[in-house]
Amino acid sequence: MGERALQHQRTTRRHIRREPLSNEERAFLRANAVYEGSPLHKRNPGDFGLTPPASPRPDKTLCDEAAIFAAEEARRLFERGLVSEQWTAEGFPKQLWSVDEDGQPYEAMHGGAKPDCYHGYPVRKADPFFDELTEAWGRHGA
Amino acid sequence: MEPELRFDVLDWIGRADAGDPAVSTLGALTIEGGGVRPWVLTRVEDTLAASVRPHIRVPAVQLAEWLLVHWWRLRWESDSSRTETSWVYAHRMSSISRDVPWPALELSSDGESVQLRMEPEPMADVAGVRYLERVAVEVPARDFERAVDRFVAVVEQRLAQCTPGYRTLSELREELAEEQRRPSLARECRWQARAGLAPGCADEAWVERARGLVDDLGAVSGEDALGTLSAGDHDLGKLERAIEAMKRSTTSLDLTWATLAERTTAAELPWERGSRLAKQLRAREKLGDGPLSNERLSDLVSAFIPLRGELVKSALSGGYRNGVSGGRTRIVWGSTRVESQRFHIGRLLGEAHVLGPEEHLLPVSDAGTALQKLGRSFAQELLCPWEALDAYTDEHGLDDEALSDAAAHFEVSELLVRSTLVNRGKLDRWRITPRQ
Repeated sequence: MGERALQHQRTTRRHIRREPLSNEERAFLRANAVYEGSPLHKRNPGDFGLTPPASPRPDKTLCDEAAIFAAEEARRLFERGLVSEQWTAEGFPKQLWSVDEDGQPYEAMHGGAKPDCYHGYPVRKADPFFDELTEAWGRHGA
Repeated sequence: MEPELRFDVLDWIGRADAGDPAVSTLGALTIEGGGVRPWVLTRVEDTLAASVRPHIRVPAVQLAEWLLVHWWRLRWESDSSRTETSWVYAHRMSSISRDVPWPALELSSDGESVQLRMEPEPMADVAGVRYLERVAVEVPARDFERAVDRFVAVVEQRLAQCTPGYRTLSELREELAEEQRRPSLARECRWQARAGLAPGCADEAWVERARGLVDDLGAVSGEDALGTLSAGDHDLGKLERAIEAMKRSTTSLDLTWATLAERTTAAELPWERGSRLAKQLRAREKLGDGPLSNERLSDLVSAFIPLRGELVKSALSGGYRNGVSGGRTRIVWGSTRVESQRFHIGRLLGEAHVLGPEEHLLPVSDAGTALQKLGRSFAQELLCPWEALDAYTDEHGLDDEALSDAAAHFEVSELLVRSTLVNRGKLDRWRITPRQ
């Protein structure tokens, strides 16, 4: 009963690891992880050196709306992140999260359009994970 | 007849040959319904295009899978645990994905119909779209089921054409169909969903205890009692203790004379039915149009009001009857206030009009189930008939003092007076609680 549905929930539900990134893990990510912005998550992809997507573009959350205008800032946010319980076989956390000075949370996702790269986007307030993230961020004193 | 709810893909806009189900099922999606008063939940302001459109551009496969994964809870769990994290993930559509701005639509069910609730967004947040609609509608549960079936079939067909190797959606649909097809399995899924659990989460011991309760209490009222649990606390021991307290109670009512009522139309909502049945009872028993005295109510149920005895504070309250004690219903209650006791008795009386003798429990709780809605509206109309309250407030006004006087006049709580006036549109919602 419900086994397939429960398995689906386990794979799609985000779980924040209680421990933040260790120094070793940060060093590994700095040396090996690549951040590449997605034009789908930019109102103005050119500001990020990205090629605009063809129209009609899918509805997405937008970094520009959250005042993230430079890829450098996006990279900085992802390096300070909280980390998911799920990791890839290559030793990368599947998701990283951070919350900026204005209280806006972001998610950086491993994989997607380009393998071995992270791409990031802001989390909407309407998303229940918004509250989980901000609470966890506060708990870690990040 | 036009269905009350539709998930329609107007156009596929993702590449068919992308090899990614999220891309190939990218579509222009509308969620809409309503016959006489149509609503389009997906009407958004597109802040990039500076325009308003009726659809959102989203991966349909994500919604189809979410609807299947949470189907039992969406179809059977009420909104009484809506502040709990587990409830939010199972019932709020904006939990589907981090990077796609799904609407903050909440779906819940009283068992007979599915409630859809969404507030408009004051600004676009961090997305390129802003949802514009306020939606608060109830759709028949059958329409919800049909809408999901139809939408899933459309998405499944698209996946079969574009990404035939992707099987997740089909596997979820097949699993749900099997659960729906087998009555014993469907019952167990329903029990768990009512209690705020995804089917398969409860262990065998929990399911067996739930079966024992439902066998003892009755198929309808037993399931209703499970609705007082939540994902955060699904301890069946609480229900068992509440039932034991009812069985031990020395206070009882005679409700054997309550006539079992037939339903007039399938479209009649629980609160409409409760109100209608109370009006019929008032006419049949010649109770007049005004307040119902304690003496007359005591005569009706053959018990002295105010009730005297030990108070039982529990999420589940109500009465138990199993044909012994002359068919009387042994009851527990949780307040010394006469108005609360009168309302409690009114709810029990309402339920006795719709539950047959095989239903041993008359449950009274805060659950948002159809039975509880019916009981509350029955009690309101019995003790504080709308037409009489309307006339009273026409004559005496709607200021705080007048509302307090109205409560004293009908011997009901002020909250009942205020909520009735709010529900009937005569009082603004912000006035539901009195000013301090």
